[in-house]
Amino acid sequence: MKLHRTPWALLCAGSLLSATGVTGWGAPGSAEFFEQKIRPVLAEKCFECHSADAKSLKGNLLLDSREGLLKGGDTGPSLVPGQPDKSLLITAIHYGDPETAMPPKKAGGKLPPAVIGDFNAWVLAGAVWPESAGPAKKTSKKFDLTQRKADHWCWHPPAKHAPPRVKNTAWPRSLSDTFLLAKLEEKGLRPAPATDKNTLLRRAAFDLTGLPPSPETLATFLADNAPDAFAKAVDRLLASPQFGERWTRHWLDLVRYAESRGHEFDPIIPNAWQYRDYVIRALNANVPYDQFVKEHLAGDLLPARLNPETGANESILGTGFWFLNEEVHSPVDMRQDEVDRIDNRVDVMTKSFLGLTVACARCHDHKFDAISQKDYYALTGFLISSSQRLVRFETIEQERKTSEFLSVLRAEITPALLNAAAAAVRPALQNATPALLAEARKALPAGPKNTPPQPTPRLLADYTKTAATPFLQDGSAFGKGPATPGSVFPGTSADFPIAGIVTQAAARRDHAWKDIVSKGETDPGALKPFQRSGQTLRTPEFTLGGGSLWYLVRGAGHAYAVVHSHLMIQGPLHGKVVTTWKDSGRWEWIQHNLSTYQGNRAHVELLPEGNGDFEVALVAESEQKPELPEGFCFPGAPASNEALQALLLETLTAMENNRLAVNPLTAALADWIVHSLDLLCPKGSPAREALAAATQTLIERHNHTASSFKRESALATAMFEGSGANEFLLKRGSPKLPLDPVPRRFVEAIAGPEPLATQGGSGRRELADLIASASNPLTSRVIVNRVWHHLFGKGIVPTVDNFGVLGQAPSHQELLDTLAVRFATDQKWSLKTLIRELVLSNAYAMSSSPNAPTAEEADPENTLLHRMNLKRLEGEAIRDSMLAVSGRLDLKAGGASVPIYLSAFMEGRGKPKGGPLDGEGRRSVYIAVKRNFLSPMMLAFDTPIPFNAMGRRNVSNVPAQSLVLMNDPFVVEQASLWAKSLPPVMPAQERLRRMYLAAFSREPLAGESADALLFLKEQAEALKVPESDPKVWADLAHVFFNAKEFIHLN
Amino acid sequence: MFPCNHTARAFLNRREMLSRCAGGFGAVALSSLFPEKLLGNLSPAAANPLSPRATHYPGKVRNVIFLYMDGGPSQVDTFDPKPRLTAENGQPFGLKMEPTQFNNNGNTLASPWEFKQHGQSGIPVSSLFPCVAQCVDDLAIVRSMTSEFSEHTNANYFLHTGSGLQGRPSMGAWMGYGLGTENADLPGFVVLNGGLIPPGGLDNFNSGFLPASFQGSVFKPGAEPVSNIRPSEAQTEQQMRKLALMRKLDRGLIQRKGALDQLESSIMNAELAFRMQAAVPELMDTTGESDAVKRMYGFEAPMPQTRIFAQQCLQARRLVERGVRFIELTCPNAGGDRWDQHGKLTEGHENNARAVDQPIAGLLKDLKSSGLWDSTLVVWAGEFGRTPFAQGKDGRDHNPFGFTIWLAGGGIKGGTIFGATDEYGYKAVDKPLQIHDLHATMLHLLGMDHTKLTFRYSGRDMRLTDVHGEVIQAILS
Repeated sequence: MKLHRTPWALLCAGSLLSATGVTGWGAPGSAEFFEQKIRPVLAEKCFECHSADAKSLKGNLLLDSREGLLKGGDTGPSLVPGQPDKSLLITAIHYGDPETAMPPKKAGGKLPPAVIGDFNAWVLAGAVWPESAGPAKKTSKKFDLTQRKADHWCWHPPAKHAPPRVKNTAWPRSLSDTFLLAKLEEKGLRPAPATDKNTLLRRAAFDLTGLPPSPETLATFLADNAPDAFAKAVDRLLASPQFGERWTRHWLDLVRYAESRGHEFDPIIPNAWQYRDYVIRALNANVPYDQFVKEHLAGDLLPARLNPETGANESILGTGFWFLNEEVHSPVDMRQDEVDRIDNRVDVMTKSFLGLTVACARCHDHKFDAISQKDYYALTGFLISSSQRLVRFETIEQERKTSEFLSVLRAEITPALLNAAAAAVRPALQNATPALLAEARKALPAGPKNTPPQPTPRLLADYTKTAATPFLQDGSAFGKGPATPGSVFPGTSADFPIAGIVTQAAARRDHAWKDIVSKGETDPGALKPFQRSGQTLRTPEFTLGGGSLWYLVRGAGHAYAVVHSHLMIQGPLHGKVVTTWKDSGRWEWIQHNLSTYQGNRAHVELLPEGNGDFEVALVAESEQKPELPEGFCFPGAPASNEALQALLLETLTAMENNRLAVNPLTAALADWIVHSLDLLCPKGSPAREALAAATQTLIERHNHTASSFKRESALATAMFEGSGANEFLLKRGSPKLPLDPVPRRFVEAIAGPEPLATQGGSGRRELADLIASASNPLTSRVIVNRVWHHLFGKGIVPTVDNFGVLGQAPSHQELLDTLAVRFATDQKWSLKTLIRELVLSNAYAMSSSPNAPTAEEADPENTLLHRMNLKRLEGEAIRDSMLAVSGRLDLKAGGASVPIYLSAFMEGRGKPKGGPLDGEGRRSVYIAVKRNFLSPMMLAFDTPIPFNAMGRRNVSNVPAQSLVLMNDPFVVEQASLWAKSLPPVMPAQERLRRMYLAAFSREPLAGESADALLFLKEQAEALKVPESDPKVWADLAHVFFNAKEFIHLN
Repeated sequence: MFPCNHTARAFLNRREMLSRCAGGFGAVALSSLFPEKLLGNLSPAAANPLSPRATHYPGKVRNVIFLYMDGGPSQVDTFDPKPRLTAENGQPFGLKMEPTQFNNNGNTLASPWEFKQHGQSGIPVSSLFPCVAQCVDDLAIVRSMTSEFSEHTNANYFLHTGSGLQGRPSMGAWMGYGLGTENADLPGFVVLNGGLIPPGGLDNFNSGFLPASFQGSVFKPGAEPVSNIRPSEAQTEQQMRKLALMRKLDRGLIQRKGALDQLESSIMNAELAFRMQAAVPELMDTTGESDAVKRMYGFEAPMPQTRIFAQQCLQARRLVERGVRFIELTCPNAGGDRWDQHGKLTEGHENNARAVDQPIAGLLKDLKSSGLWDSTLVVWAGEFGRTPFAQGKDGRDHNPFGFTIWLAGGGIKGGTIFGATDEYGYKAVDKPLQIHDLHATMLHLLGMDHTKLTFRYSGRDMRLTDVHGEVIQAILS
């Protein structure tokens, strides 16, 4: 929600003031002065919103008494007697800051200068307010977190309750039945009778898989008279891959799942479908819910949960949900854009996992719940501490391990490699020719003169020292930390056993990563050409000063300055946040001019271009180009050939002793040596062959280890951990009014006011532990209630996304609490166990027909669940079941989405390539969700617009639904396919029976058969075709699609 | 046609509708929206969210036609003349420039068009709008509108929903929610689409968290103006027989299951859909209109886009006649990317103005002569205005700080100018307004207090105007 610049208080719709001309009354310290010059103005301009009689008090500020002014409102005291410049009242009427300017413009706006002068004088004289004026009558609703927490049930930890006593002990089957029955019996009600087996299986099949039971499944179930027949059927449904697809769609409603970012051009969210498939796999694999939650919040920081088949990192995919929000492509106010984006993330996260409306506390303490404005900003800090990346999730874990193994192996083989190389070149260097020395001399070029001395630049990242700067990267290509001078990067063949030697401490992209390939969608906009995945170095967050950044680098690369986490770099304004440079073959400072963004928060991501060496030493901010630090340029090679030769021989000794770190000159010469083997020991020479022989095994071992990860990986949108940063408390939610930073922590009502202790970084992992905890009073209750909502049609707390004061109270709190505690303990957060238990209850098996009239009267909203609720199928289930009965359904699982079919009405900017009318027969969960091109059929049937968490869909009833069913070409096509799929030679009655079983999971009644047969006859006559013609049967199929029984679950 | 003689249709489950409304309205607001007697004894009419409802107080108008000028027309080239721009043409701009969308700000740019005073009021209008200029005595011209956004999509959402982000209900949905519709065979909120869908897409016309019944239905020019409105069957009888069988099946279901609200309303809803199949083509068919009227709208204009917009304007009047509550017109594609002239201002604005000028004037005259004037509010607005300084050499960038909209029709004091921008036409300085004020005024004219029209969502009683909005009393008659 866009924050509106709510003025200091709302409008006082008074006419223009008349007191302006009054002069010559008492001194500013007198009562008359107040009565004549101050009070009338306050009364006319302010009291409507700031008095005890105000209809709704604004800003908790009372201006009808001196106490009120002294106490002040949300923004602090308004009056400091004697000090106009410290009195907010005076600041406000001076209209200096548009955010606090008062009175509002529409009440006439700024007061006349004379009146402002009067107020100034009045405050200066001590703000005299005669006694008779009386104190404030009304105090504001105070925000008392402790009291609010004590007063509302959702903050109190759930407890397991003993099942209540019931009279009808025969009825309960599951624990939940007992709780439900007890309440029914209190009201003198009885549960509805059990429904028939056909209805029960159809109900369970749709609830668990979103598809009708096949006629064969139905027949098996009907023929099975064993007591556990239904349990077996339910187990089969839970085990089918369609279970995950069905429940994933429920989950996607919460995380406002979409594959594009909306706004003007509807750019893609790259590879969003990988998140969707992750959820499907997780639900099918029955990943414990607490783990699932942790993966969403901090899957990038957890020990990786690996895909058992592919070895891919599954847990990291959960973090993709953060980035499924809308995104503005070229915001004029980047900071406002950021706080709006983050607001949506906090809102979605807290509603989805906690059933809390924390985002209501963005501008002020929550109006009703025990959530302070500080709570809100404490949570936003976690989000500004992390950003987006496209992760190589398939190989990231292998890459991490490879990097570790390589580091150990290299330490082991380096001495042998250096010794062998030194031995091979020693003869040539001992007898160095002038020509050879001339070549060596080039390895030590004289650096630029450092004159005049420059001011010391502000260092933002220093990779020349280990651990000077947090070493943040995407992937493992930069190793564990800066490469140290003298470190050896082995080559890939014994011919050139050493690929390079580090001369300066710096972050260095490992050679072994230079041939990685990433597949999948890349970021739209300016980032598109960058191969940033798996090889990006990230600086900590900082605040830009003058905005002139300098990168001390070697090798071709790119820099992406992530200003206020802005990502969608497309359009006219923000192209300069990316910059690119070529390889000059030496260390140099690259400038990145970000002066437009002075004072903004940012970090920089640096990455190589191409396959060459890529090293980053420093990131600094400086008006002028900084000097090259010592060691990054040489004074030049020794003047005489003798001295140079001596230095070369010293280098050989250093190589033999693995002591190249000591002298940058020897490291540089060693690097030259290993690159100049063809000159120093030509191919075919005994020395070269000896070198190859000595290093062959080592290189093979190294090659083996270096190639132990797959070069190619798919990409997915995921979190990119940064350095910890805290958000400011923003007065009234406005980024223009920052107050103090709020340390990151979870909401105070659950975790206390202390900052969260973190292991460095964002702290999301620690936050995840607090949220996905059995001791959190909300997480288990909220998910249990969601499951209940989907199975029974209405949650125990009907407002599934809001457990706060404005949500609805639980109808059966003891039941909810008991289920929640058992879910988080006995059931080990297993969703399938929970679902199974509820589906196998007798309550679930009740008929949905209205019960005895007394029951309908006593429980008109079915709050007590005296019968099952009738449920309208979701658009996805309606479409999927049409495909299922027509035979067109393709149960292929996962993969990139099928493009949405574009009707003539789906126009606009960013129009995607359209897909086929029938979506290739795939289930609806696999059809692309483009924010600006949402499926009209799904919208008509209440699939939510993806903008916020929506755990409970609207169930509307609009003509567009009937128009879809009557006339949509997809529906007509499926009806026709269904008719064609019927066996050509088969009696009409038997065909009809098959259709009924497929569409309604039951046999036709006698009257229904007669009606249908008559219809076929009449329709055939009108169309002048035989009754067996598929056109006639297509019409019958179309009628079945339109029957209310088809789109409802009894 | 249908055996079931219900005239009222329940679109939501009755209990659900009531619980949603009861959750959103206070008791006072509830009784003001639902007549007392209906609250006591719930008739199906009370349960139908689309049926007409009592207003908070007698409204001046019953319908709104919103002429949406997609892209942001320039205030200083249309209704807000600024001689200083001409005087300082080509010179560096005289005021501090705020950040712009393209950050390619040039010098002060004079309007290429001449302004002349028109009518008895003598209000100046530029030569871009020669026809509308003839109606200027009927217009209340607001020169001090502001927006909070410089980007099209945010500004479009803001103009339509009072919020800059996706997903809030459009003003037409709010008005339908508050007032219901007077036509049982047509939706209450119709968007007559001239060809362009504004940035932000169809969500500009959506119902957000309000029930889907209130979302805008987009009518396109052509044989199938509404999605799926054309029967899929070759003959009507073929469809009739199918519907007859469907009704038998549904009645059988009700007999077996019992009378459940949800099923009953779903059945009634199918009947409405069936009737809409006839009502919509009848609406779009203008063959019965006189040639003189069509000419007045611009059916014979040389520019094809004028002819498209003429159709839309005439259909708007026909929708008003049929009791449709809120009608929005979007612009035809006149080339040059809507009113969004970042370059080639002269060519682009001339084409856009030519497309809409005559049809709008025709609509205003026709409303007057057909007796619909007093019950109809016409609003002309873009999502923001344009900068008085150039973008590049010959364009203007987005300007949310001060721009012009106008209102006309019932309850509006014609020949009025309200508010003012500074001497460059850059920022509103006299009586600046927000979009919320426009929304409050529209609701007010329809008889609704914008502070009382609420819907509970996400733990808050939501309003079209959020916590803002003041009725613009000075332009009301």
